[in-house]
Amino acid sequence: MRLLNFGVVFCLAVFFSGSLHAGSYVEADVTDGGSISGTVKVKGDIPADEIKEVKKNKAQCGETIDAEKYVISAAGEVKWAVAMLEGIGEGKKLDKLADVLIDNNECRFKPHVLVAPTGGKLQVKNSDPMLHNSHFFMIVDSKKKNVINLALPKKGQVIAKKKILRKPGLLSVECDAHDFMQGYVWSLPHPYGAVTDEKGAFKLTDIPAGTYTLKVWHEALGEKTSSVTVKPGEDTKVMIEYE
Amino acid sequence: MRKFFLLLGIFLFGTGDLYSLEPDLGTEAQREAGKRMYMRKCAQCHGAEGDGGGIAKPFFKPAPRDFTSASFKIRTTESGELPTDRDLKEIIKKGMPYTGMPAWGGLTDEELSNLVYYTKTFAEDFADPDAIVPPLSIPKAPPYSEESAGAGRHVYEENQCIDCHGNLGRGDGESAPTLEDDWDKHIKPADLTKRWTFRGGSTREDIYRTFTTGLNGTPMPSYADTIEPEDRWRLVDYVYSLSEDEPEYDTVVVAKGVVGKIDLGSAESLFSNAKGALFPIVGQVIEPGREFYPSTDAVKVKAVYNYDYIAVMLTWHDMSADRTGVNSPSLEAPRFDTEGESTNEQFSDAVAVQIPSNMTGGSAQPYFLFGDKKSPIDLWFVDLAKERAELYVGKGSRNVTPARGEEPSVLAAYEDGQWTVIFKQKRRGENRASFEEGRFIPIAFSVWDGFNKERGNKRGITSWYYLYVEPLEAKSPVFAMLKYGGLLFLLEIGSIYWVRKKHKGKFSN
Repeated sequence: MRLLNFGVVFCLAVFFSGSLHAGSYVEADVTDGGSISGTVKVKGDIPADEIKEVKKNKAQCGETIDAEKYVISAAGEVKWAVAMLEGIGEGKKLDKLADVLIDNNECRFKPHVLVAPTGGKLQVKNSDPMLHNSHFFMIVDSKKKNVINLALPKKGQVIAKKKILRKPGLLSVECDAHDFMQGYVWSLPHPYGAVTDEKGAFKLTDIPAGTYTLKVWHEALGEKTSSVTVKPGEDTKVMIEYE
Repeated sequence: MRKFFLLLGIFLFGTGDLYSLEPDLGTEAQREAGKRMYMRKCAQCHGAEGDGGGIAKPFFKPAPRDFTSASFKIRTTESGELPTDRDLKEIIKKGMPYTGMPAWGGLTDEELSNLVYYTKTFAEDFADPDAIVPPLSIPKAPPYSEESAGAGRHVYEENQCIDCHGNLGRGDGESAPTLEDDWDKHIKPADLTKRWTFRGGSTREDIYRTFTTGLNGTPMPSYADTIEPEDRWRLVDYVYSLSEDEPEYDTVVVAKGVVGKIDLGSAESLFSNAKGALFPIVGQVIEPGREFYPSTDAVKVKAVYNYDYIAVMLTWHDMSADRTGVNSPSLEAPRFDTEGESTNEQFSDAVAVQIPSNMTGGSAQPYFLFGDKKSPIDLWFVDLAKERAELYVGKGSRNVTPARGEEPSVLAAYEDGQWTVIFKQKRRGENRASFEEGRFIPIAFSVWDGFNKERGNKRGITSWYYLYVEPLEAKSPVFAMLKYGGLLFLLEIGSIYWVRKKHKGKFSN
């Protein structure tokens, strides 16, 4: 009997260790949640986007490409920022089966910035008629740590990998064959993350009422955190401004 | 019962989100023993902290591995994963060809284990159960066949290996100049025509493993999801067919006599009967401006001559033709050129042939690094940005000056990752090197790769080799060699006889 107990405990421990490692997010039904609507902006001078020289495959990719580093409207609204609730422990279901895809398309990663569920599968596609390789790095303490390097020599090819989203955090994706290509993926262990659109807007929905840390990240402008209180059934408006 | 739970446990391990194996970090005593050995044998390059920052780091290309990155090139695991202990042991045992990593074949298995345990302390990943993965199985290689190698060419093209490794596999693909490793340093794609330089070994299984797992820390991706195993073996065979096991180096290049004009315009037919000789190139590490890892590792030489002229053709592999910037044998290079990025704009590619200026001074050769004061050398130099040969006289590494006399003419071409440079020079010149029939003439070469910022004394060199001017009536050099060998033998017998006779009776048992 003692042996049996040990066995059960051992097996349970093994079984749960996997899911626990992915973060301590607990899924629950959110019936009376609130939402956060926000806008990400820059104050003052609006930096111009960087133009990168296309060194090869110009026929497919053109002479230059926009780095999409500063996609900012005249009103200062910032595209490609990511808003996320930091350290949220409980909330709506995280859809790990959701289709998340990053496409090598005309020498750009499309989308340029992506939010994906930790533990899910990221699909990596090549829509170009030439070799791309998608080289993923996790950014840990502002250092790049190699995650996986996938060859995509064929047009239309899709490789789905769980490994890329094994851990939560920021991933940089690069193409060694086209050193001017750059994309980002935020692997989040909860469903409360969104990428801003052309108007700098994002919306996080079905958040259990409470006070949270809202983190906004942008590849060049950096990170900003603020405290946001979500009330049941209400939409909380926030404005994040980079100086 | 116990077995059941064990199986259940394994089952759960295997089917969970993440396959987990237990980390094996060894015992305190093993790590301690490993540390002692590491400090003695490894820290000079890999650093006491394991970050690859040892005192010898500036001399290496590629740099010593930073163990804190947990990123290892040669593994049997998937792209991006940690190596197995066995992988680490194997690489310590075998070393990495053409890098600073020697083979530590003399270590016992226990010593290797201890070293591995200590090496793993530098990265937390090795203690993370989620990060420990099982190795992929590398199937046993089917027998090699020409058909398979032929079909492999298609796999090579279809998967665009050409993009980095080049059309003929010489490491000169379009992307080659822009490739960087995880530390943002330029990294050269392998020259697939020289499999003895492959870091992870040159067996067919090694090659299969490399494009299955990719090389962590480098741009070499994994083709595990892209190429079917059967096609992978075809690709292996294609790569395998591009080279021999080992290079066959020579010591003499034979200059063939030709009747008629030496016309550089028809180089192909001109050299068609000349046998090529391959000479290894090493870094110039004696004079300041050292180059420990020159880009070039060998040069192939052919030579022909007629009554008036001699022509020497050099070919070598180069990732890119650097035709901008400058180069010269006397260009100042810093004592240790360790800073700054590689570039293909500042310095151009260049090559030089050196021959003793004066062969009447007996058999003593000039100093192999651009000669010496007593015995100068003639240097035929071409800056490949100019494609015009210059004639220098060398009286030492810091004493190379333009020489009087007729400059050699030159023809240079770059194609598919290979430079071909032909010098044509008069066989006899006043106070200049001369090429008499039947003579063995000392000859040496220097190659500069502009991309690698090689210039002046920072270059690849050969030691002295010989150019044999084969007489036109096609007298076999064997006869001459036998004659001299025989004479030398008689001389030795004679002197032994003389010594014995002279000292006869002085020493007795």
